Amino acid sequence: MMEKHKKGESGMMVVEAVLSFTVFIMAVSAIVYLITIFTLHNKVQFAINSTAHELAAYTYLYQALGIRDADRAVKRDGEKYVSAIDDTADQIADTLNKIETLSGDLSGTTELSPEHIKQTIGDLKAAGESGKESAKKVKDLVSNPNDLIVGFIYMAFDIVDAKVKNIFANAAAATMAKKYLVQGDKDADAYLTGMGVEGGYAGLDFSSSTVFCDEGYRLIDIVVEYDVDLSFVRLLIPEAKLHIVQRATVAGWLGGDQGDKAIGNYKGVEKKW
Amino acid sequence: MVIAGSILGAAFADIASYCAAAVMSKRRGITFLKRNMTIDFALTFCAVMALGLLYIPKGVTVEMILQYILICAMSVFALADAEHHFISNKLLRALCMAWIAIIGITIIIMTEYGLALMFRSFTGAIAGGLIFLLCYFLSRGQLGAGDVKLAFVMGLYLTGDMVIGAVLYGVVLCCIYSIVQLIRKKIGVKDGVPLAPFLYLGQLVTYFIFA
Repeated sequence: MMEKHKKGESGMMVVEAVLSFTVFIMAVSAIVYLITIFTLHNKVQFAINSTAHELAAYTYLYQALGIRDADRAVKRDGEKYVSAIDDTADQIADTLNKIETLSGDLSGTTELSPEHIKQTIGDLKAAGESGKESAKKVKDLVSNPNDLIVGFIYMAFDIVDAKVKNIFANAAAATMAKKYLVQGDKDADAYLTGMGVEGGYAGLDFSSSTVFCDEGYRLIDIVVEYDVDLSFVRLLIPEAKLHIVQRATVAGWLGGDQGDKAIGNYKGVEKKW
Repeated sequence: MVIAGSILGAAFADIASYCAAAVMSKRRGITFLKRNMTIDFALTFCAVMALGLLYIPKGVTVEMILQYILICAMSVFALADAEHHFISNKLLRALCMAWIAIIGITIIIMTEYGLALMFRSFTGAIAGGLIFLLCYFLSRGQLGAGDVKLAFVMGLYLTGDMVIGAVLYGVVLCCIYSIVQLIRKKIGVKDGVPLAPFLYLGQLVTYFIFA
């Protein structure tokens, strides 16, 4: 005999409704996850775009200080003029310290000196020689804006090995993208973990990023790879992961649109966003 | 320490569930089959103990306390729904009150964390409640109103992180059960099946996946 219950207390569901409700719930879950992944994708894209533009802005010093011209001279005339580039270290230090004093943007950072610049460049060289183990060391190095600028200037030299440029780009991107992924009171790590990114912020792999590795030594290419854990479907699909690769490529602030040097005009280089 | 805590927690969960079932039984004048009670409480004991072993080493959090309370309550809902096809409004109200008390205390002690947890709970409640409410109106009463309220309360306790998974697994399990019973010709398409036991199982599955 069916028992009588108070109105609104029924816990039954008709079988035919169960069948259609399952499909409905699956559709809703799929939509919810799509929205989540779309939001995450947009946020990460915003972060790497902003990072690439910020890095591009730093390259302005490379152009404005005339190092690019010196660099080209070295390329043209050979290694005997390398010492000429080293001599510019004094000028760089002087100029950057003046900028720091005037703008106050780099307050709280290490004061630059020719020795400091040489030390930074030496660290980067060592990183290139010792391989990926030094990536963390470089990451710590570029966390200081002054060192980042010095490193960037060094990166622009043609003589620098592509591996060093790769390590530098990886470290710079990993350091700088963090602040763009802050969401309310959540830091980047908490936000990404909450969105299901495996390993949180450490799970973002910037190792394919490069700076000035293109034919015209102009492009900053930030590539990030990460896995999104589709945890709630793990029972149905045990290895449920979504591998996402995102890229942002911008030209450095190097001499503006100078005819054939403008972005996209180099052989084999396409404008990518 | 962890093992002792897990066993103690599991035993306390069973005692709390038994007390709630006894009160419900007395007030409504209904009885529960001993076999069903044994299965239900054994499942609760094993689940709480296993979850304790998995979660306690990570540290006890407010979310864990909320989940623990929900397991105890869901055990009673599952039993009542499976046998007598109802979701007790009084128990749902009690759960809402307990949630308010816990979140309130958390906000007083750890304001930032408490507020964040409250918003996550609201997200879960809205998500769970809305899905079921929509289905309730679309199906024109083929889904019980008690299930809608239960989904809302589950959302409060499970937060937005887990409620979708719990509901999804619960409904999928219910669907599998219905299909099996239809094939065995034990039920017809117009018959009803209790949803709360499956939501309970879905909740446990989600906990284990997240652990």
